[in-house]
Amino acid sequence: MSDDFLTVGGLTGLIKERLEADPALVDVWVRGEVSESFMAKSGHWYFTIKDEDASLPCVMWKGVASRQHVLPEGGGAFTFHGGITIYRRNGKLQLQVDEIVAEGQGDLHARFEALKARLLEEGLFERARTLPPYPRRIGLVSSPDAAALRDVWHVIGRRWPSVELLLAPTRVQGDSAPAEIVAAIEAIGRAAVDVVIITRGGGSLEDLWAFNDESVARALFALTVPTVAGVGHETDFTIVDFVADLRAPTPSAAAEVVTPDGDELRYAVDDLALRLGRLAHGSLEQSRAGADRLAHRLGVASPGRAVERARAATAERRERLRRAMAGRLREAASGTSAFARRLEALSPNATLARGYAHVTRDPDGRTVRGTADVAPGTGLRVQVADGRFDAVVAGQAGLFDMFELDPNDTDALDADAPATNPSASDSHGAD
Amino acid sequence: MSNDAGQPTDEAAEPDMAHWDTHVGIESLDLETVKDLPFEVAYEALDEAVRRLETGDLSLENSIAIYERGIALSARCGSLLEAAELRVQQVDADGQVTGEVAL
Repeated sequence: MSDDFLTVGGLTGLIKERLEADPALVDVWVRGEVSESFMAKSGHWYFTIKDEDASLPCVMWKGVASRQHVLPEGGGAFTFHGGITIYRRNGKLQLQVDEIVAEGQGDLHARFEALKARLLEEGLFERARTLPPYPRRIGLVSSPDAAALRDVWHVIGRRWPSVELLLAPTRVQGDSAPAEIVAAIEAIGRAAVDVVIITRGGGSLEDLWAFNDESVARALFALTVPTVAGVGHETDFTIVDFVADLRAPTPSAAAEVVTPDGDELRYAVDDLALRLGRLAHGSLEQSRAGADRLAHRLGVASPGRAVERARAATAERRERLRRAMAGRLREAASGTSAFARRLEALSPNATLARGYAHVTRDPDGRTVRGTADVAPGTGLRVQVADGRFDAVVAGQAGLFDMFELDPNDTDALDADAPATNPSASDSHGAD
Repeated sequence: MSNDAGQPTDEAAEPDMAHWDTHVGIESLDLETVKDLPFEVAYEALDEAVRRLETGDLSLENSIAIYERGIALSARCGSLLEAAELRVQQVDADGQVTGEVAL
């Protein structure tokens, strides 16, 4: 007799090890009918599943059982998922069940997979058109009273409020839902929108089922504008998600991807308007300086008897120039001209009052647009609504002198006085 | 940002989409049409106005014309970004707006 033997525990341990190393046995789907089922006082379930040929003991722990839609009551036919193991106490092989799928559910899953495979083969999942960056009309296929609709409305209203949001209302669950969703998709397709969002809030697999309907998938695919799906939660995938040009994890996320970032654009527009005002003013000052120089030259270049005539010519010329410009500018600055109001609207103060600050670098006056424009120690000039202050990137402060456009400043052009420094910052303080 | 301004697909394009021809020059942009420009066109034109002024070398006349258009364009852009509360409108089976959805 050999000394080379295993203990019983050692042997069952070895069997257990082998069983649990086999991927085909630790992750297995099996179909059978339940018999000899009972729930122990502990809450664990013990039962046997069988078909014509065989039977297999099963266990399902309490925690797992509490998550199931169906329980393994005797006589029920289900599909079970779990892993094969051996119970060492009695050497019994058993299936440790972690999921039970009822007949109908199993069908749903199989149908989903079959449809998905078929539509994939047909090319219905290949759409990935570019979304319009600045849509003017957004179409929405949603239930009219869903939280999802409010989410979408809220996000779009914040980011891109001038868009037209058109809703094709539909029921999104129940037997009539697929047909209604198809009708809504077709309706929104006739509404000349730039992009379509199809959306529904979270729900159970059954709740989302209409979005796995083939007719819905085909209707969505037929749309000639890009589509974005925001159905259910992040972990929910429906056929509609695959058909859409873009799948967003939630309704809010769908609203976000179809709209530009309004805050960023507001900043960009304000910045351009500010530059425009400064440039325009500089250009006017240049013209004025040119006219003054001309007048001056006429004045000094007239000797002897010609002086009087030249002076007259100078005055006349100067007067004409003055009139030409002043007239144009006065007209512009008068209340009748939209020009004046626009100047007013352009005043940096209007922008700054909204909470923006205009930050320039002290050394070169360049607008700071990003972190790359500054370094520790860079001097900054910061203009805010009620004044200005200097700052240093982590450091000291100094004086700030920033040009401000003021419609009243155009009066200066009327004055006969010599040109003043166009960049004088106190032009605003006079009024 | 302004270069890849997206055109809606042909079916969705509206006939009144006013385009500003970059070859004509910003001075010739009709002030009235500015009010109807879509954002990307207005923004691009505004950017162009600033660039034109930056190059300098313009007559007073042109400066004013460009400036005036720039103001109108920035107002147009601003109005698109500051629109009143977003409304949701319902469409019927023909895609026609039938009314507002209360939220």
